[in-house]
Amino acid sequence: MMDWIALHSPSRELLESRLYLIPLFPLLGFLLNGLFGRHFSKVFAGLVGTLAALCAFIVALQCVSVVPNSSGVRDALHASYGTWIATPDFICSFGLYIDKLSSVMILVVTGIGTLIHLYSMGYMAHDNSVPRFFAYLNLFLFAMILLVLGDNLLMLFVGWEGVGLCSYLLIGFWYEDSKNAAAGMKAFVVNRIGDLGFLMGIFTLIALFGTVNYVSPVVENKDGTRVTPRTTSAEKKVAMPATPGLLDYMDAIRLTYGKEEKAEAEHGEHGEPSLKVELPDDSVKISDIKIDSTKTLSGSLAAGMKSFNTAGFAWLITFACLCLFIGATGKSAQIPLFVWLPDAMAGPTPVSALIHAATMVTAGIYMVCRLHPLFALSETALLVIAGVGAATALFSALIGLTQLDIKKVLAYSTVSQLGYMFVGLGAGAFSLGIFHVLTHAFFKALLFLGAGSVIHAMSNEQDMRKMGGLRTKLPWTFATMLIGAMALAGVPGTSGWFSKDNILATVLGRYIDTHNSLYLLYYIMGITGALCTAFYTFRLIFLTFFGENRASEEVKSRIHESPWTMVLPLVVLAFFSLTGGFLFGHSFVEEKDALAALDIRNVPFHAEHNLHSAHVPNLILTAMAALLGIGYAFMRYGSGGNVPNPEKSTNIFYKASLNKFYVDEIYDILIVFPFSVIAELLHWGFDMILIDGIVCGSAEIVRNLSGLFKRIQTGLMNTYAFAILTGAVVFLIYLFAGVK
Amino acid sequence: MIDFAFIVAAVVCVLSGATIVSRKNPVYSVVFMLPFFLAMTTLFVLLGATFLASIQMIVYGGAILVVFLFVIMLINLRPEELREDFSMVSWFLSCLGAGFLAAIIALFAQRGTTSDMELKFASKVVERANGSIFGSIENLAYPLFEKHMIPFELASVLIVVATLGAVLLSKKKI
Amino acid sequence: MFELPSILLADAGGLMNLKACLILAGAIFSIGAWGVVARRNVLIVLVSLELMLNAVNLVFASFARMHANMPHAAGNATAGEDGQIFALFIIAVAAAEAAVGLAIVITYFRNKETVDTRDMNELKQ
Repeated sequence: MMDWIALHSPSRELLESRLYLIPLFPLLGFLLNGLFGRHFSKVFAGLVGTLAALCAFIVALQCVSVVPNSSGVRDALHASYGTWIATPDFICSFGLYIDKLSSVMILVVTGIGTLIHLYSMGYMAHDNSVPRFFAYLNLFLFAMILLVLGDNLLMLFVGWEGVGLCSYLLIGFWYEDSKNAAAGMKAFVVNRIGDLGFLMGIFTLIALFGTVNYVSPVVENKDGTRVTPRTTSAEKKVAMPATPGLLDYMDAIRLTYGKEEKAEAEHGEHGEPSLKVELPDDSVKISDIKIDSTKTLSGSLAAGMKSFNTAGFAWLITFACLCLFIGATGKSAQIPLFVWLPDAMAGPTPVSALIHAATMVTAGIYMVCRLHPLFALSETALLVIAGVGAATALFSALIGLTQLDIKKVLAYSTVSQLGYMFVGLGAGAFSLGIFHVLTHAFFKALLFLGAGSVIHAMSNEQDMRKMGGLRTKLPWTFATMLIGAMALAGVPGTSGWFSKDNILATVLGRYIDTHNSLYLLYYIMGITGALCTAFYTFRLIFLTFFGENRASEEVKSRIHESPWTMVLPLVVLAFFSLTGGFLFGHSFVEEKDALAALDIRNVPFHAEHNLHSAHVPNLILTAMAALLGIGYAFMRYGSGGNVPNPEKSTNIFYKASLNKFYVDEIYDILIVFPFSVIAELLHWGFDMILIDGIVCGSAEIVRNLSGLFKRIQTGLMNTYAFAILTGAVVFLIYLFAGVK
Repeated sequence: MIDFAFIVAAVVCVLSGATIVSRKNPVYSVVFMLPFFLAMTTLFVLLGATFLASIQMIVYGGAILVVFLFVIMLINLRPEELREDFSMVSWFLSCLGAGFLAAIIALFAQRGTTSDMELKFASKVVERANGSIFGSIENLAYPLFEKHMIPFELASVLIVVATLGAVLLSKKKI
Repeated sequence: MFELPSILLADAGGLMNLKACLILAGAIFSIGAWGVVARRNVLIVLVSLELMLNAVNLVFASFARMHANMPHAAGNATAGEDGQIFALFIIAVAAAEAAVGLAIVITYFRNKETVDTRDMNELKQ
């Protein structure tokens, strides 16, 4: 099908001129539903929203179809709409950019977005503010498309904030319940902490490189072809484009310092992978590097290179990476900023599926992948990313073991899976991280939508203790959710297994490669997490679909299979959850062009040359983990009688896990309470006394003075005449004194 | 002789002026405006401003004075309403007025050393180019209708507006 | 046209000069100003205003005369008449002012039954 589209697709120039349509459709949908939604019927509002998403998906599909087939000259669609900010030290363009990385993301966003819009038409049918819901969803799509397609970091940031806003609005969609509004607030505040780090990272990059563009703007060759110039190296000289983007600088640094160039010369294509970018010793200034540019280097980089010696420069790169990663931990719910995501389940279930599982929370992964040459420069940053990812993957999987709310289980599993993605990024397997984003989007959206279908059928009951035995009553939901659960658990052959197994294999391969025992630790954490994942996933399935139904009679009588609008997305997603690994895996996993397939520009290392040696033990371990987890879940819950009963349990670990290891309470004590105390102190000591003292005091002074001076204003004509006369006399005397 | 006329006119001016501002009953004030205007007219004649003198007599003596009288009769103040207290403030203001006067006199005295200030107004006006007479109607008419035509027209507009305004203001109901 | 009678010019003394005229005008102006500032009867205030305007007229006429006497006036047909024209304008304005001012006084008296400036303190309220 892709080939057919490619054959019949219009020219690249035409597609580039159409790029703006992708964000335009959701924006139009948002405006229509937002401005005139009051006059729309529920079905019509849903149709507007769904069609907007579908149109965006179709245009995106058309545009993306060109990207993988492009030759080496052109590998991205780049539509520039001028310069956003241009100062001598800082350039920021304004345009849309689709390369292989963003093509994956845009298809996930618009494709799964369309399915979830369709699903929402059924799910929200009984709600009273359907137009508002679809307006928010379309606005979210618009912001997410900006995030993914923007051709510079600032546009990414705009989209980043936009999706944060929509997340806030949709978590608190049923704002009548103050708990939902509080959950939205929590998401917003926690994300602000991450955004601060993200902004600091962007500022550091601006200070270092003087640009936030990813790549150089398109230039037109003499023969009329349009080309994105890239950094090239020939005869030991590195040539940069006239207005280089961040990736061009990365290329220049890599080409100048990277060991692997020499290695490549020796070993050919199978160059020895090297995680380290060897920088010259401290005595060598970066300004000594021979970097030829068609123009001179941008001012601030040249200045930066002159003022920092290489070690300092490398340190700054690490600093920028860590700051950006803090932003990613906020948006992608990693330790320590993951606490908002489970609470975000207060929103409608389609929102949980679209925003808090499939798309928005993967923005952090997208951002890291987008700047992967930068992250590749800093081994420390990669180790931190992998460590945080592994810790999150294990920790939230442990919490997920005992949750009773069906959506909470899925929420913690989302946090856990995001952790796996970061493990993949930290291990240098950027393409695998994105691959896991793709497969996770399929099966987690499926699971959430399935859970929504269950909740819908159970009259908004979310507690799994009150479910059970639904497999006969909701056959479609059961079948599709089972597929999703298998993918999540990592049953070999499903899409989730493909991506997770490869990530873990990469970590193991990295350990074999570098003998850094940290990687072994991460691997063990990952495998343990996988075991937990398999257990809690099938615990969910068994508790929900097997055994006897434990709901009240009234609810029982109303259990029904969902309408086709909800079942159709489930089926589509189930198909891709099952086969996604076979369909798309080769372009992510195949060793030689794993990264190139994503047009993640050649990273100094790609590694995976020990993948094969790591693959077999890893395959055995992951399969065992999955089967063990499922088996244990079957033992405990398969019969259906063993319903979890927190009140009876005396197991300390069980209680801790049920209570999320008291993370929220610890945060309350360690952060929220001190902040409240400080805020209260500032309120009384600073605001009330000092600020109000100054403000009210100055007002008081003015009032008293005016009380003094207002006596002059007698309102009597004579007084004013007298004042005028006095002025005249004074003036005359002045004149008299002045004339000698 | 011209000095004598000047002194008489000046004395009448100052005395009647002082009377005007110091009477309790405004009727007396307005009555004493007549000698004041007459003396003023005399001064204008002595200064060679003959047309100005006649206008002064017609407008002030004939129009403004009469209007004031009419208004006083219209208002018809009762004696008890004519209370007037020359308080401390008034004395202070009197001192200020005196100071003002002194300042003006001192200023002119200071500048009085120049020959211009000593200029004798009795002396004959220097010969004009075409033998025209200073202050005559023709001599005033030419600059008035050529050089100052726009201000002249504006003055007529002002008077029309003032007339309308006075009529409107004096209507029973506003 | 009009010439001063020869009897007046016969013993042309030095007393009537510019300085004397200006001092006289200053005196009249001061008297008027005192009336404006110190008197409470609004009619007398208006009359005092007329006094002040007359004083200014006198100054204009004096300086016009001075200019006519200057040597540079010899070649100019109407040297010095500008001052008198200004005085004419002032008379016109004074007439307008008296009309409007008195109309206001009448209206005010009709409404408030007073012509005392000390009762006219609505500005303060």
